[in-house]
This record gives sequence, structure tokens and C-alpha cells, in this order.
Amino acid sequence: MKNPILRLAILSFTLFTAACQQSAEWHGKDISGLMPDLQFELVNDRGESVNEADYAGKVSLLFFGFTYCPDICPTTLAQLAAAIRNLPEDVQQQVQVLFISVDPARDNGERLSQYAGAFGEQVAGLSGSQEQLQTLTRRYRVTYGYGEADENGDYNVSHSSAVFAFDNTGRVRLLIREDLSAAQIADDLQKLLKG
Amino acid sequence: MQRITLSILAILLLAGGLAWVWLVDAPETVSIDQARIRLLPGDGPQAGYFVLQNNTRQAVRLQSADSPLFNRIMLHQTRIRDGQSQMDHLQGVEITAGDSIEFAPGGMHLMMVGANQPLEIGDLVPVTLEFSDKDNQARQLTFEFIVVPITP
Repeated sequence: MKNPILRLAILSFTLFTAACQQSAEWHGKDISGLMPDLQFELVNDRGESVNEADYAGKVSLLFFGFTYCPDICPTTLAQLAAAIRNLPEDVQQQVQVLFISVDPARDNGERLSQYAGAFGEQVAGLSGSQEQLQTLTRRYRVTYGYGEADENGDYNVSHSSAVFAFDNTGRVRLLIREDLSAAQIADDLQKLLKG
Repeated sequence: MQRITLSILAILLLAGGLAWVWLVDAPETVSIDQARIRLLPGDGPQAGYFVLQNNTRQAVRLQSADSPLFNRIMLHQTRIRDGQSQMDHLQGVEITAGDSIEFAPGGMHLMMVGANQPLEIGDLVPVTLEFSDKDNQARQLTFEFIVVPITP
């Protein structure tokens, strides 16, 4: 199927019908089977190489960003943290947020750990080499890019605004948009935890 | 005739006086509400939010912001296009007469770079906002922004 428009049309239709079927059930968009399972090679905030096996067994929320992002990244992370706090205490530990910095040049382990830590122990700050990040973002069909540095050496980073949710077996399940409330996200997490 | 002239004069004076009072006593100000800085750990940029109300009778333009506690402050806007989020620089934001604008998470915000001292929850940070009106008259107003936690 070489025609990109046809592919897009089929994808849109699949997403649309999936959304219609699931609208009563999920607040996020059901993308089960439309994206690959959770898999990555990255570096944690202690500089150690990690992959999905190190984070297995939990419901995972995958979010791309960078720590020099004072507005949307913390807004989304705070929202996810609030959703997790909305869950019964005994299941909070069964959910994790994987915050992936796509700005490894500035985000060293210390910065990542400080930033992720501000949102609670369930948030892990990860990054990696450009190659590792490219592999991961391509896998989930998202992109990132860098703006030109200003006179102070500061530059902007564009990144995907969506959060990908995986169940505790690593299967992709939902696309959580930034406009969902913490209560709606918590509701979806509850259902994901039940399997 | 003279009486009528006097009456008219009196009315004019009264009207003039009222107009004068109306102009002088008008709330010629821009007021702020919910001014806050949402604290992020580390030395990265912080975001400032607020609601600005233009109580004057003409449009004013928020041009820039400055604080003795930060190296520099920029007016930024987060934009999400096709699921991709990025920040745009704003050259200024106009507030029409009697209207208000909101700097809120996920939208317009003050991008506050290089805090020269560690901030703590509850700190009050002075921020000077510079406005200009249609005659390009600059006016600076200083407000206190309270430092609030990142998680609600």
C-alpha cells in the first residue's frame, strides 16, 4: 500500500471506528493493536542503560518532553501525577510514568532526576542517545526537533504532546490527550489496571 | 435672556465638571489576579501565570516583563499543532479596553529564565510588566507573584 493518502484514510477510519466503539468506555483514544508494544533502549537518571524489561509489570504512561520546558511538560506530568494520586493507594504503585527527555544535550541525570522527582516516585526520568531516541520516537510515529539557539544559547524543543498508555504486559492501549482531566485519566487507569 | 445664558453656562460648567471628575476618577489601571509562579526544581526556567484586566478606556499592549530575581523573562505561548507541542515567542499581547487576558498552563506564560536565588513555595517575587498604549506611551507596573507548588 504505497499511496500515503490511502494509508492515512484507512488509519483515520480505523482510529475513528475504534473511537466510536470505545467512546463509552475510554476517555483516551483506544489504539490497541495500532502501535507496537512497549520496547526501548534508553539511559536512566543514574546513567545506566535500561530497557522495557526494567519497567515491566506495571501500567506505563510514556511521555516525551524536556526539562527546560516550564509550561506544557510539567502541566502534563502534574496531570498524570494527580491521576495516579486519584487511584486507591494500594494500586498507585502499579502505575508508572516514563518521562523521556528528547533533549539529552541539556538533560543530564541530575536534572532528569530532580525534574521527574518533583511529580512523585512513580515518575521515572529517562533519556538516551539521539539514535536511541530516534528509534523510540519512530516506533510510536512521533517526532521531535530543536529550534535555533538564541543569543544566550537557549533553544526550544518541539515534541509530541500525547501520552501513550500501555497495560502491565506492555501492550499499547490508549492515547491520552493533554486535554483530559486527572479524573478522566484516573478512570482509564483503573480500567487498564483491571486488565 | 441673560438668565437663559447663565443657565446654559451653569449647565455647561456642571457638565464639564462632571466630565472632568469622570476622566480623572476613572480607574486608569491594569489590574492583575492569580499572579503565580509554578515552582520547578533545579535551575531551569520557571513559568509565570496570571489574569490581566485592562480597566482603562483604551487598548494596552503587554510588551515585556522583568524581575530582579531572574536573568530575563520572555512572553511565550505553547502551541499544539497536529499533536506536536512547541513554544512560540510573543512580541506582545494586546488587551482591548475593559477586557482581560489569561496566561495559563498550556497556553501563554511568562518564561522566567535564570533565577538568581533559590525560590521556595510561598515566596513573593516582584515582576514588572511593561505596557504601551496606542500613543506608544510606556508604563510599568510591578506586581507580586506568589510561588506555588507544581502539583496541585
